[in-house]
Amino acid sequence: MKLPDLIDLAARNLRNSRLRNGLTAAGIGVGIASLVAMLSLGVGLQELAGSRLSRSGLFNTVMVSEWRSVEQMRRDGQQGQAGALGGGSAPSFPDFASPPVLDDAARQEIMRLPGVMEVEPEIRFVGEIQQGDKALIAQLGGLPASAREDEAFDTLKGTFFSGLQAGEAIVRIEFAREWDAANPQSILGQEIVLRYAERESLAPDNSNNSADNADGFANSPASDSALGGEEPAEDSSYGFTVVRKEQPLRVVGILETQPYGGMRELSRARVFIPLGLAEKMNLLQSADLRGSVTTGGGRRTYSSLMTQVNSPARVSEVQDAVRKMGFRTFSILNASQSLARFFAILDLFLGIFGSMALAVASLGIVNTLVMAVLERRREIGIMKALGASDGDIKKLFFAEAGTLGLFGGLFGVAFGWAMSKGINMATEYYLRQRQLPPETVSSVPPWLIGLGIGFAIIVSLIAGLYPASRAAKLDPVQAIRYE
Amino acid sequence: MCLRAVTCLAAVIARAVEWLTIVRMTSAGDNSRGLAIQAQALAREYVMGAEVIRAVDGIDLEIAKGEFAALLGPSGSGKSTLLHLLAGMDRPTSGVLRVEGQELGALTPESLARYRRETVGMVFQAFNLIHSMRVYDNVELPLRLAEMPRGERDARVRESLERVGLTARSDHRPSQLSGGEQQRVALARALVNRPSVLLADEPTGNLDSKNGEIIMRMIQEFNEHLGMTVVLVTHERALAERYARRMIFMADGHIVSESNGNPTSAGAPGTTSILSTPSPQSTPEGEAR
Ligand SMILES: Nc1ncnc2c1ncn2[C@@H]1O[C@H](COP(=O)(O)OP(=O)(O)OP(=O)(O)O)[C@@H](O)[C@H]1O
Ligand SMILES: [Mg+2]
Repeated sequence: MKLPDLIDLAARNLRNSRLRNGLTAAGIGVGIASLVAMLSLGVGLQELAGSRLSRSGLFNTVMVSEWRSVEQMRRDGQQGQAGALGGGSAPSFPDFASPPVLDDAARQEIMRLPGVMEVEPEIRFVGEIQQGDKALIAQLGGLPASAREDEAFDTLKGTFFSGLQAGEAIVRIEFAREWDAANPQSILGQEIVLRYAERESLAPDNSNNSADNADGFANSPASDSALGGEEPAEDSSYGFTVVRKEQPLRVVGILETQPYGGMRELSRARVFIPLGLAEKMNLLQSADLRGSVTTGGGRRTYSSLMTQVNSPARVSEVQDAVRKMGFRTFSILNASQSLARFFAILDLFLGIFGSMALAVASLGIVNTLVMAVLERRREIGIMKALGASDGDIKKLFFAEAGTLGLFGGLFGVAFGWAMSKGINMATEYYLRQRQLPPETVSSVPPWLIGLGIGFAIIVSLIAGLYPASRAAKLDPVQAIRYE
Repeated sequence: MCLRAVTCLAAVIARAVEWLTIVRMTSAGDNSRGLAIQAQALAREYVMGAEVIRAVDGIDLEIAKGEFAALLGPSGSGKSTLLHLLAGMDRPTSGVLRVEGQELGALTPESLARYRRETVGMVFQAFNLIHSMRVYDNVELPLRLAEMPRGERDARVRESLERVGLTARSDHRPSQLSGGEQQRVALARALVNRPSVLLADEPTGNLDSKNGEIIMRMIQEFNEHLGMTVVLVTHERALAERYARRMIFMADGHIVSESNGNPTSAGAPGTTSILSTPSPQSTPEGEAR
C-alpha cells in the first residue's frame, strides 16, 4: 500500500475509536509533557546559572597577583620588619630567584595573550561626595569598560560613562536614597564633587608613615573604616604622603543592583567612576595599605590585576600562560566545571523522571494497539484475504502508532511548554513575594520541541512493534471464519 | 439517439465476441493452457495434538478457464478449506496447486498476497465488509492494496458498483444495507481488480431465495460476460444445478463424484430482467476484456 493510503486508513481507524485513541494520545502527551517540563527546567536553570555567572564575569576572570607580596607578607609576619625588595632569595618560590614584579610591562604582556580582552586593576577607595553643604562618605570603585556588559547595567537608569576618563559617576540606588530620600532620582544629572586622598610618592626608606596618612583624613568620619582597623598597616618599601584632592563629577546613572552579581569586592562600592579616571587619580586606596596600585620611584606596580578572557573555555590557557610569566593566578574555573557536571547530572535525573512517565505512556500505546488488533481481527483478515501483505498490515499499524505518537507529541510539547511557563510564573510570583528580581528558571528551546515530538513518534513506533507484528501474523482463514 | 443506437450495437457485438471466446476456451478442454486451476494430490492437514485432521485429502482437480464449477458436499467435507487454498489464503500441506499458471505452494508470502489481489476475487457467506468504511471505500480497498494510482480508481469503483446496481448507495455504510445488497457490495469488491478467478463460499447462505437468485445471476453474468472462472461452494444442489455447468461433490476431503449442471445462460432471453443493471455505459469494460 502507498503511504497516503496508509495514512488515510490509519486516520480512519483512529477516528473510529476516538475516545480510546484520544486517551492514548493524551497519555503519550502527558509523558512527553513531563519530559519537556523536566528538561526545560534543567535547561532553564543551566541557562540562568550560565548567563548569571558568565555575565558576572566570574567565569572568565583570572585574578593575577605577585608571588612577591605573598613572600613579603610571610617574611613580614616572621620578622615584623620591612624586607628588602628584590635582591634576596625567595625560598618559597623555587622557579624564580627573583619573582617578577606586576608592573605596567607585565600588564601589557598579559594583555597581549590570546583571548585576553582586558587587564585592569581593581580600584576601591573611600571618598566624600559633596554638593554645597551636603556631604556623604562613600566607598567608590573604578569600573572598566567591560562592566557595561554586566547584567546590573541592564536596568541602569541614565547612561554609562561617556569615556574611560570622563568626569562622571554612576551611583547605587541606596546612595541616591541616602542623598535624597524623598526623590532619589533627583541625583541624576547633578554636578557633585569627590573629595579624596591622593598619595604622593616619597623617597624610599621613608617608612611607617601610615599613621600620618590617616591624619590627612582626620576630619573624615570614614577614616577609621577606610584606612585603619581592618587591615594592619604594612611597611611599604616606598613611602608616600597623602594629599587631599577634589574631582568634580556629574552623576550620569543610577544602578539598581550590584554589579558582578555582588560577587566581587568591587560590587560593594556605592559610587562608581570610570576606571581610567580612577587610575589617573593616584588614589590612596583602602587596599592600598598593601599596595594595590603602588607608585614608587615613578614605577607603578599592582598587587593584583583582573584579567577578562573572552570565553570561559580559554581561562585555563590564559592562566597557564600567566603562571609561566611568574605570577600567581586565581579563577573559579574549577568551580564552573563542577557546576557543569552538576547540571549534567540534574538533566539526567530530570530526563529519567520524564522518561518514566513516557514509559508508562508507551505501555498505553501497546495496550491500545493490542486491543485494536483483537478488536479488528476480522477486518485484518478481510484485508489480508483481499490481498494485503503482512508488510501492509504491519505498516498500517505502524502508521496508526506513529499518528498517535505525533498527536501525543504535539499535545505533549504544548502541554509541557505550558507547564514550563507555569513553573516560571510560580517562580516569579514567589520571588516577587520576597522582593527579589524575577528569574526565568524554565526554558523551552526549539530543539526541545523537536526532541519532544520526535521522541513521542519514536517511542510510539517502538510500542507499535509488537501489536503490528501480531496483526501481520494473523491467519486470514481463522480471522474471517464465520461465527 | 443515434449515439445510443451505436453504443447499443457495439455492446451487442462485444457480448457476442465474448461469448464466442468463452465457448472456444471451454471447448479447448484439457489443454493445460486453457486450465485456470490445476490441483494434484492436494492436501491440507490440521494437526490437533495427536490427531491429524485431513480437511483436504489428496485432491486431483482441473478447472478450465471460464468454467463455472460448484463445490457441493456435506458440512465438514473440506469445501471451504479447498476454496481457501485456491484463494491463496492458506497453503497446502502437500501436493501441487497451480492457478492461472502460478504454483501457489512455491510463492513467497509477498507474491501470494499479490496473487490474492490480482488473480482471484473472494466472496464469503458472511459478506465480510468492513463496517467502518462506506460502501465506496470497501470497493476501493483492493485497488488501494494493489497501489493503483488515485486518479484511476474512481472510474473502476463506479463501474463495479454500477455492475451490481448499487451506485446510489456508495456513500452508505454496510450496516445500512440489506443482506442481499451487502453481498452485492462484496461482489463489486471482488470484481474491482478484474480478477480472472472468482471464488465464492456459500454466497447465498445468508440470503433469502430471491436475493440468492440475484447474487447467483450476477455471478453467472460475470462468468459469461467477463469471462471469469467461477468456483462456488454451496449447500443447495438445486441452485448449483441451475447456474453451474459443472458440479463437484466432496466428502471427507475427497472428490467423490462429478456431474454436469443444467444452467440457463444469463444472456438468454427472459432471464435478463433482474440483470438490467449492466447498463450500456458499463459495456466498454466488457469490451476491454
Ligand atoms: N483450523 C482448523 N483446525 C482444525 N481443524 C480444522 C480447521 N479448519 C477446518 N478444520 C476441519 O477441517 C474440516 C473441513 O472444514 P471445512 O471448513 O473446509 O468444511 P466445509 O466443507 O466448508 O464445511 P461447511 O459446509 O460446514 O462450511 C472440518 O472437519 C473442520 O473441522
Ligand atoms: Mg465451509
